[in-house]
Amino acid sequence: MQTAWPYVLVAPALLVLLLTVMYPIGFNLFAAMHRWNMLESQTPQAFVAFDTLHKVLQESSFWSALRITVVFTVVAVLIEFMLGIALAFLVNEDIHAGRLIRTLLVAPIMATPLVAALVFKLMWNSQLGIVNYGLAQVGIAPVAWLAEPVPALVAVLSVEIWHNTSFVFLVLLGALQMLPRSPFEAAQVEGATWLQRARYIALPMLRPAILVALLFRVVFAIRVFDEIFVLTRGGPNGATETISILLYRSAFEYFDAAGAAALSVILLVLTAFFAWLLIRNLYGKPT
Amino acid sequence: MIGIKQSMTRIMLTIVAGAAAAATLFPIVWMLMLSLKSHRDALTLPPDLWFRPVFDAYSAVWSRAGFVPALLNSLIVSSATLVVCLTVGLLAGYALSRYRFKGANTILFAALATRIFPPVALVIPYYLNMQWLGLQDSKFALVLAYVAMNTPLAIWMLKGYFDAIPPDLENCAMVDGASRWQAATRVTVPLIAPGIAATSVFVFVGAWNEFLFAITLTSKSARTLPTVIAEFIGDTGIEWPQIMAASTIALAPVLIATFALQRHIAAGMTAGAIKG
Repeated sequence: MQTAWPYVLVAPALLVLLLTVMYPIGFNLFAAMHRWNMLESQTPQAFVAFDTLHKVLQESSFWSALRITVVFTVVAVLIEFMLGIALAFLVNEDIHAGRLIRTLLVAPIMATPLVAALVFKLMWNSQLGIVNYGLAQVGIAPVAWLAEPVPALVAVLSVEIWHNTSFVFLVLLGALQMLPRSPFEAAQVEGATWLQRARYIALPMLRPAILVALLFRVVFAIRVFDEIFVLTRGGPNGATETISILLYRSAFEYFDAAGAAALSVILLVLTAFFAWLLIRNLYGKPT
Repeated sequence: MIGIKQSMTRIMLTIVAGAAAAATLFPIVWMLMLSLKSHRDALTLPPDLWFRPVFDAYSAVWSRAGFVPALLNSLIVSSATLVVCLTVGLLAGYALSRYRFKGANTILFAALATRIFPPVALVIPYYLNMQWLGLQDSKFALVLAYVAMNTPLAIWMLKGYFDAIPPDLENCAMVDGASRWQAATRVTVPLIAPGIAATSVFVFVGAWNEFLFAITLTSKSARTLPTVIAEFIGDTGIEWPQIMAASTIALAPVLIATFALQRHIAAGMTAGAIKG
């Protein structure tokens, strides 16, 4: 009886995970193996095995979306880390009003993505936006930010970076503050400069925290949807269409349930790799 | 001399950090400012920095069809999600922290993997199944989806907080005649109350902020706040002050939570991978 207790306690959690996560994942596999237009039918139309998956993998829109997802993720995460690490080192120094500045820097961390997207949509607006106004002050002609491929990507990236630099900052500042004092003091006695201490002592010791933050940032950047949906809907001409947006559009604009399910399966397989990486690095080999 | 040089450096660093904080805050301040202007004044450039705040946009938003119901829906859906996740998370978190049993690690890693899978990959199954069940445009469907997204987080966070309380405290209570249930609920749970509060806020905000499932699973009567605000854009002649006022209303509780929770945020956002 004693040993049954933990199973009773985790049973609700297992039930919830099975019903709300495992079943949908299985359903994706099922739907992806069919032909299924949602306008024509509420149920799968024909079993086609891997034909749908095969077709998705042959479409240029998929490869374009994959490329944009990778570019978006790499650029966003890279900039977030450069800014976040710099800010963490900065606030870790003995500055005036450090606590207040820290609090303000963390403000965006949980902000509603939709709200952030709307505010940025206005700021990047070609006629009403503050960005073009600022550019005009220094004599630069207005840019149609959301209507041209590269500017649109810049605009979308800006929301993501504004939103998530605070996460990198917070995690690394926490890690910095937990580092032991003595190696730094020893290095200072030996005459190491601030930069040397940061580069050769702090950064190596921060590696575990950086790795965790990096993995979390990557998996969350891959899934970004709200910001792009509000700013550009994947446009202009697919220039900001990530896999999430492509998936949404194939489901709710082209009503291709099977194609969207196939994309879901691909996305799950891609992120499963990161999940494996994270678990392996953090907690050793899962049993 | 060294003293002067040091305090100069300190001031310089403070200025740089302050500038970064100001840049971070800018979009939020901008939103708040526009929400307090009239439609006519809102978008004049250069922006009018000293102006008399008016609450026209707020009252317009408040009386706009669908806004108050959406606010209520958001509150109901987020609260219901919170109740389910917290119940399930407390039970599982306690078991995973206190007992060693076969399959414990599998459950933990499955939960973590679930947290890492992108929710967008579950949209199609939810959409189709809810249609089969006749649950499209229902709050129930949203709660189900949000429970899926937030249960893993609740399990991991709460397990972490239970881990921090030595089991000996419960053992002592049991020696004194308390049952295991009493020991857990009267000794340990009160001790992790701050952790439970932090977890609650995380789950609530997660549901409150969600947009993708809300636009796909609801159409009218179960609309939540983010979806209704997004619809303001679709209308002819965008009323920016109203959008900013509605955004401020949606964001205010989140910002308050952020400031209240600071010490728990890192732990929460990494599902316990980083201790706060």
